[in-house]
Amino acid sequence: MKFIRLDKIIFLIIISITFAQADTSFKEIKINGFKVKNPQIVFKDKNSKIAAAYFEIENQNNFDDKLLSVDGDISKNIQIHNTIMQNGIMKMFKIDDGIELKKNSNFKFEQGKYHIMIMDIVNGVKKTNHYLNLNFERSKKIKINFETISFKQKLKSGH
Amino acid sequence: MRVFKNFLFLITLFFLIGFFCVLITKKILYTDNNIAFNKIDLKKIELVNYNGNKIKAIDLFKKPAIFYFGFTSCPDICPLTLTKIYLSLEELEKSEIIDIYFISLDPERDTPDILKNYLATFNDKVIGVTGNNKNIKGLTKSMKIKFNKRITENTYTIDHTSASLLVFNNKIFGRILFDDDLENSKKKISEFLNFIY
Repeated sequence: MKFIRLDKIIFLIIISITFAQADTSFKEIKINGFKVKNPQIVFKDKNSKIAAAYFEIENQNNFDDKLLSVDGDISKNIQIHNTIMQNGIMKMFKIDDGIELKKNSNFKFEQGKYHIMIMDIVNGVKKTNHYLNLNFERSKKIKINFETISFKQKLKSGH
Repeated sequence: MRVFKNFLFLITLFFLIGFFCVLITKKILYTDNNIAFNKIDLKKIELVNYNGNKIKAIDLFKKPAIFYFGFTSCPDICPLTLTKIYLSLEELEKSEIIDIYFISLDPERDTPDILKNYLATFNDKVIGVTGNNKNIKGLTKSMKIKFNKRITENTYTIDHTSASLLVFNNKIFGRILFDDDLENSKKKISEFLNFIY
């Protein structure tokens, strides 16, 4: 009878854990002709009343579309915002007319730039994930699973 | 043998002189880069800390400190910056020798209780400070911070300087910018503390 060596088992476990973590931290979803990368809701602490969502989206459809709004169970007050820096001054604006997504183009929601602002969170950010609906002009509603992550975790992970 | 010893001595001397020159130049450059506060009497500016205690602005400058000006309704830049400063100090293991202050630019909404709750994540290391509009304006003017309350649909937001200030002896010695990553922030704080201590 042949025995598998213990060091080989440990090696396989480490590899599995590494890939499992990579899968959750750099998630990529393909849905209705869109590729959504790394959707995250980032919060200060689990009792936060306010949080921001970030992701990258690629329109792989053969038509232009527009992201009109975002909604979800986490809050009734979710808005698309943009932050701009002018001479070191941070200014944040609500986007009312949506985000154009030309065919075969991509768009990034990220810290200090375009982001999804989630306000008036009643029960905090207690779950490990929350679904947000991205409402498009042509593709209508697309439900995306967002991983919840604290600013501490995000800074430590470096992405 | 003697020639070799003299050669070794000269090389060591040359290396030491070079080393100290670099050190002194760095220190002089760092000193020259500081910016004095605008001349406003900080003893006359009354503020309230997150425990509800009245304090004078002058009390905030007893130790080297990092100041960040923001508001608790800010979704990403304010919590991200505060977390970055907190983590930098934690990783540098220097949190005992420097204070961190979060000065609210939104005294209408940010009461001491709200500040206390908001900053609980940082284990009392980040001290929340608020005050009335007049005194907050006095402090920001002194420290060259710009902010503006801007009315939006049915609420308001605050446009404000996004950098954190490294402060000692009523002078600004450096700025941690919003887009500085954790490593850059640690480097800036280390340079600041190396200069002070």
